[in-house]
Amino acid sequence: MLTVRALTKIYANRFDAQAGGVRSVSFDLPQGTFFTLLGPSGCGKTTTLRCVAGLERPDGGTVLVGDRVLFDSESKTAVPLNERGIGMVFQSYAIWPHMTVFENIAFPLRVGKGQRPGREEIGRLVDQALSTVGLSGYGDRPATRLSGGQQQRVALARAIVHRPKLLLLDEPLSNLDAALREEMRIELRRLQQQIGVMTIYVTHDQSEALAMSDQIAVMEKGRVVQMGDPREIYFRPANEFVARFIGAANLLHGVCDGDVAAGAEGHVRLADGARIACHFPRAATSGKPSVVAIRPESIGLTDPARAALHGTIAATSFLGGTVRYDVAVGGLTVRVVGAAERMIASGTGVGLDFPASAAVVVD
Amino acid sequence: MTGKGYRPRPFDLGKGRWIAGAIIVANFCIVLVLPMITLLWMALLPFLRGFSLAALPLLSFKNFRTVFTEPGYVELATNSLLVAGAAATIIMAITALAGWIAARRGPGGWALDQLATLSLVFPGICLGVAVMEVYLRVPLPIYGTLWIIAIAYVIRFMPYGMRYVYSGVLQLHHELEEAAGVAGAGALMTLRRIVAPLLSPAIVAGWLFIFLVANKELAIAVLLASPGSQVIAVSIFDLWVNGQGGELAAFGLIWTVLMTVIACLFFVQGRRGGTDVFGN
Repeated sequence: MLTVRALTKIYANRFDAQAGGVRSVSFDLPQGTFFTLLGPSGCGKTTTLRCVAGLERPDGGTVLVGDRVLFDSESKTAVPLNERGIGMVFQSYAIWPHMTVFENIAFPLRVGKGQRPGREEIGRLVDQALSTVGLSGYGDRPATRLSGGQQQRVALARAIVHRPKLLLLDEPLSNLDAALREEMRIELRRLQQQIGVMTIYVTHDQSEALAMSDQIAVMEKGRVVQMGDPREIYFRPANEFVARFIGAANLLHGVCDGDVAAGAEGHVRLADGARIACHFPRAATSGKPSVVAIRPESIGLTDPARAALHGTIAATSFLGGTVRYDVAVGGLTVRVVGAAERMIASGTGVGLDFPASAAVVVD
Repeated sequence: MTGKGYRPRPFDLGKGRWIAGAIIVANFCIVLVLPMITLLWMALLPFLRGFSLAALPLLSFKNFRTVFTEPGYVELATNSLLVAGAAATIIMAITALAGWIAARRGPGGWALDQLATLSLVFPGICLGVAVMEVYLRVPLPIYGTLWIIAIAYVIRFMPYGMRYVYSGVLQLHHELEEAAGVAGAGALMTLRRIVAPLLSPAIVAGWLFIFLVANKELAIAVLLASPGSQVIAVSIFDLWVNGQGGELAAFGLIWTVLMTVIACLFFVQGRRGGTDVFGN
């Protein structure tokens, strides 16, 4: 169980008064959760992680693991970094080049406070960690004689060898090539479930976040703008930023047509007069300016007469598994992803068909 | 600094390579070969004399024999090596810590850096006078011993140690230390188990540099050395003043060879050490 309350850390910039950092970030994680902080660079996700780890000292807020206070600005508690008992994998892996793989992984067992395990116990725990990450027998290798993926695994083994309650991963896959990244993504998730450790994962890659997480917090400019499970984040984006950042949704501007209750279906009238049915997560009154987010793959292309929204295909691109269409609708371009078997030529007039549940009104 | 994929790229100079070659050879002759030959000529003659065929029958190893057999020279050499070695060791021990704190912007890091670098601006003689005045008045009986020279060397060469360590630390990825912290190591443990081993190439290089420079430092030694605590820079100077050019040349040559051998040993050892800071 991890609790983060009103965590704040402001980096003041003397030169242009722009301030980075995090502002009043809060979340609660149940035991065993894979939690992802997702956002563009500079959104404060790494700062949040470093504050939890103890690598940065927050300006305010509370961090609790279980009922152990790691940081609390009220009572001026700040457990030092090396006493937090956390496992962490760094972006650069931070494998110590002067040690063997075994020495790297045994390090947390040898330097910790309090009871340190004996020599045989260390050997057993390190072997166990090595086999967990699939590197059995690599113990005697110099740490520098490893490939990127292997270094990644060593870093992970080092982070879990002392059975931490909390595992922090700071963009661990960003230095790997694409194919290896896919593989490690599945591997990491499998490992996390196997050892059941509560994990905070920082990434700017939305597909990583969607594929691996139980819970995602999308961050923008130091704040958490939406928190939820991957389906929720993807299909019910809370605002324009989330809709745009994850899955590149189409955003259509219009006004609300008729009063709608929260969670109900209503209508939005677009600038060109088309009236489309959509899902309203929050209540809205008639005439309220509204933005509708629709995923490119939720839209089907049909006969213009059978759809509320129609336009002309402006461009097509064949992507192998799918075809991407840019459809000119009034003055704007709507992106549609369709099946690859059938290709519709540019210049064809088409109708855009989508269920009301796939058109979400966002803030 | 990542230095990804850096590789020297040879390029064809065309006809220019003869000129470039000539410049390199000329430079090598002027800087190294000519002075060495002159020294050798001086060392082999009983008295100073220009190059001439007529002088050839006079050549002998008498000066070299004197240097090796007179007990004064051995003691001198020992003194010099001791003082330079002690100063280099003390400096690197202090600056390994101070340079790390300064490079990592630790508490008082900036002040430490400035203080350790300050002595760079003192002329050697002034520093010598200052140290002499201090230890004439302080009731610490080191005036007239090798210790006072060592202390003055420590002050004078501290900036070099600082520079070596500072740039060494900057080349270590900060996450290497952070990872040790997260793993449970305190600051001292991190320094001992992670920073010091990774920094050792820089520390060794700094030690050697200071050792070599301190061995030939004259300005400070000439003020602080006394008859019981003589170092070679001063005695070479004395030899010149006394007109013993031949012995000076022989001793200088032997000393040059000794220092070169020491430097080479370090180089070989460094090469054999295998992994450098970047794990190559």
